[in-house]
Amino acid sequence: MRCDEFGNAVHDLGRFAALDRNTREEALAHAQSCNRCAALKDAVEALEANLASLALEDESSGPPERVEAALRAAFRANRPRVLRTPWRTAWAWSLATAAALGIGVLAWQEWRPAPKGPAGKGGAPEEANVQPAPANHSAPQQPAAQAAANPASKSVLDASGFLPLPYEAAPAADEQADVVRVKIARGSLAAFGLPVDGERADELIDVDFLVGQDGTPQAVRLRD
Amino acid sequence: MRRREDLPEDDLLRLAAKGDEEAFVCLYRRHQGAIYRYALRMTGSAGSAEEITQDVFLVLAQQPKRYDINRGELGAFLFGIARNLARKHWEHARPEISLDAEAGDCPAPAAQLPDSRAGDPGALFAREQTAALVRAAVMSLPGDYREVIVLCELEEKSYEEAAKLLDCPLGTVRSRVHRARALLMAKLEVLRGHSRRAIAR
Repeated sequence: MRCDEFGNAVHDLGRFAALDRNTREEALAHAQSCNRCAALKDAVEALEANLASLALEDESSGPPERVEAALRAAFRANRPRVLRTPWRTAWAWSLATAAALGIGVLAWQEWRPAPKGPAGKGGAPEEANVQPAPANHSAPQQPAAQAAANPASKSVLDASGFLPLPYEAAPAADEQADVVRVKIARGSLAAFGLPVDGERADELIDVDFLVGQDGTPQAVRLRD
Repeated sequence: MRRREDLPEDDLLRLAAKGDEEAFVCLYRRHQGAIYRYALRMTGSAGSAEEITQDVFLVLAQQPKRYDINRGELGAFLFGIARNLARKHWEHARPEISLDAEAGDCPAPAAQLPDSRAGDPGALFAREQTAALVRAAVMSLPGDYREVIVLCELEEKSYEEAAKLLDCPLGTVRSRVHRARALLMAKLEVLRGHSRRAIAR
């Protein structure tokens, strides 16, 4: 290694990551053989010690506490409004929520469908595609219902086309019943104990249910 | 729930942006030491260092959106602000001492530089004296050389870290450090009253 090369490397002898191993070893070997470069190495080391002394002197220095106090004040002055008056925001949201709830309740009360016949109760399958047909479901006195007053109601039901549901007893003699017309999937009839053609199970059909006073469907009539 | 002191910086920044004062103070306490020391070593004045530190964090308090997390770490962002403020300070300060100045022009007392490696009871005093003389020598350097000495020698940053902070090539940082060291050795040699001089490159 030449003296000019040593002059470049000497400043990085104290930085292990700045010199590769070979260059470091060559530089140290050169300093042992050259008095001028050895003196330079001593001067560099003395400088490094002096700089380390200065670094140590400043190590624990920091700004006084008044700086933090001033910054806190500046931060508060610049803080977003939403946090400065949280109570206002909470109050506004509470009012808005209450208003929305009130409107929702009124709307539901105003527009909710009138309670239907209990087609949805009892044995009507919930998973069926039940679409209430626009036809009437408020005919309390259908021939089949009138016939229900007859002790031979079962046979009368048969005659009117209504099929008594298997799990239900025949309507009582004086029981009033409603006819409720709905559109359901053909396969839903299986839930009432009636036979269903599997290939046509998804077809929507119009059916009439004879619904007793307790809301239980007691007979069904296919409209198709 | 984690203490704020344990939260990562991006969480603290998010909280501070929403107005959480303690989150902002956590960020300040994490970085205030490094910013203050840099400003002190660049300006040589505790008053100026205090002012610069406050101004740096005022930017964070009042203009938090100036910091873009995708562009780098918060420390580097704060350092950039401190650097600009320190530059303005030294550009308006009294002219730096010429590199060819004689010993009598040096602002430091023309005293024998004590050996800071002494193990006697006066070692603390000797260290303080040494620090004052070396600080004066560092302050006498031109701004670009002073900056690399502060970062690479006093803050112990690698050449790579300094190059990133200064936004200049690594080779430039290295050559400035070598040149700055040669200048410092010359200054300190003068202070020691030695006859021989360090090789300046």
